[in-house]
Amino acid sequence: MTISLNEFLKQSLNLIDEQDIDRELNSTQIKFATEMFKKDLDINDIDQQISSINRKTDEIKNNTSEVKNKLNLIREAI
Amino acid sequence: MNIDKEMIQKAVDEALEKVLEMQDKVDNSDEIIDTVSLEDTADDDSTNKDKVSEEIPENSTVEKVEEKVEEAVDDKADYNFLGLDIKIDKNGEKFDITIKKDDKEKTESLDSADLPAILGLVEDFFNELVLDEDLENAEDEEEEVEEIDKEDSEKENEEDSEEEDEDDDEDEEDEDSNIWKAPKVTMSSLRRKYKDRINQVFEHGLLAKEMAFDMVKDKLVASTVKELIDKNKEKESVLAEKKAQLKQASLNYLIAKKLDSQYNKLFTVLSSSIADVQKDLTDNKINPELANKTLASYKIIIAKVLAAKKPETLIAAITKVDEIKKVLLAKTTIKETKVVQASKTVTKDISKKEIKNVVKPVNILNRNGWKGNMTLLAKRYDGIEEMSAEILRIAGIDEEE
Repeated sequence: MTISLNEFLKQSLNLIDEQDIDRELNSTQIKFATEMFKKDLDINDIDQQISSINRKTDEIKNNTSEVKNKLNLIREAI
Repeated sequence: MNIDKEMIQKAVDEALEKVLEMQDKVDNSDEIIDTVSLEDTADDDSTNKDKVSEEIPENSTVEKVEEKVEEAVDDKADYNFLGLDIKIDKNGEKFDITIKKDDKEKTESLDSADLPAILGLVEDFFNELVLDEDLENAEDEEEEVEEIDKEDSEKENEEDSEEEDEDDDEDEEDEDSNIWKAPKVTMSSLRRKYKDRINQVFEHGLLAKEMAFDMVKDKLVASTVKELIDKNKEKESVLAEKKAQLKQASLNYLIAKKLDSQYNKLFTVLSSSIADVQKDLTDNKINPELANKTLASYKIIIAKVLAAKKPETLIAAITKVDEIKKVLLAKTTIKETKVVQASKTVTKDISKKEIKNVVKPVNILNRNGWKGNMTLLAKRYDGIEEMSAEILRIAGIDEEE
């Protein structure tokens, strides 16, 4: 019984069943899910940084607003 | 003839009948009977039968059964066991065992026709039957596949536009069916041949499957991967957007901080400048017009600054305030210089008389200061000048001179 390499591969392909495909799909999904999870973590981290920076910016703007009020008072006074 | 119930029952019945007959003779006789003679009598009565043991009739029964079996086996015998037709032929010292079921028949030559050997043959026969059934099932599936292929090929012939591609598929399928046909013919013999290395062959087959699967798995999971890649891209775009937001927030923070710093600085500079203007005005260093003009400039600067959104505007405003301050300082200095010069000019015009009036004679009583004067006159502050003038007049010094 001699067969060519192509025939051998075709026979081997016929041995592939649904479990093989499901397993490979799961593996692929896990791989991508891991990457997406990392990206979600990055997004969450950046969100926290943005909110922290915005909070500090708001505090500074409040201080600036107070100074502006004082300057406005001076302007009205003179 | 069946080897099981009938033969055994018959042998047992005969042996029991013989024993009962001997017992009956012993019971019904008044004389003492020798059991040996009874056995001889029984032997005489039974033709074509073996001798019975003297003391243990049970053993004689078992031997009788075995003898019956051997006797049956010695002759040409057919048996039916577990639905199998078993035929035993004596061929010299060996026994030819033929097992048959439906169309399948198997013949083996054994040294003895004992039960374990026959059972081993039966087990082998059943194994071969199972293998053959597997092959038959596979052939049935193959036939179904071929029928489907035929239907597909008929459909393909109807569709002219897809003719070329489908011809390729047909060829591949034909090749597949041919591939399957070749090993199926010899699969049973292969299984027997490689039964000792079945695990190795199985592992090799699995490796071949994994190798082939590695080659095609990308295509198999392409749709899923595409979907996942799309989702991943969405996440990446969200991430890029968030990074841009972070960059903008950082920039806003820096601008706000710079603005705050500049506003504080401007407030300090303006407050100081306005206070200076007020002080200069109070000290008459500047006239009210200049003061008003300066304050008006500051007012304009403040108005611009309040609407400013860039630190550069504030920096320019601070510079402007500094310039105004310098100009104001310069004008104040010029005025002070003029005042000094004017005072010097006036001084030159003062006569000696005026100098004398300015340089008054020293009161000897309090020349060391009012605090050092411990005399009674020290309390008399009024009329000191008059008193000094009187003293000078008495001394002959004329003030007019």
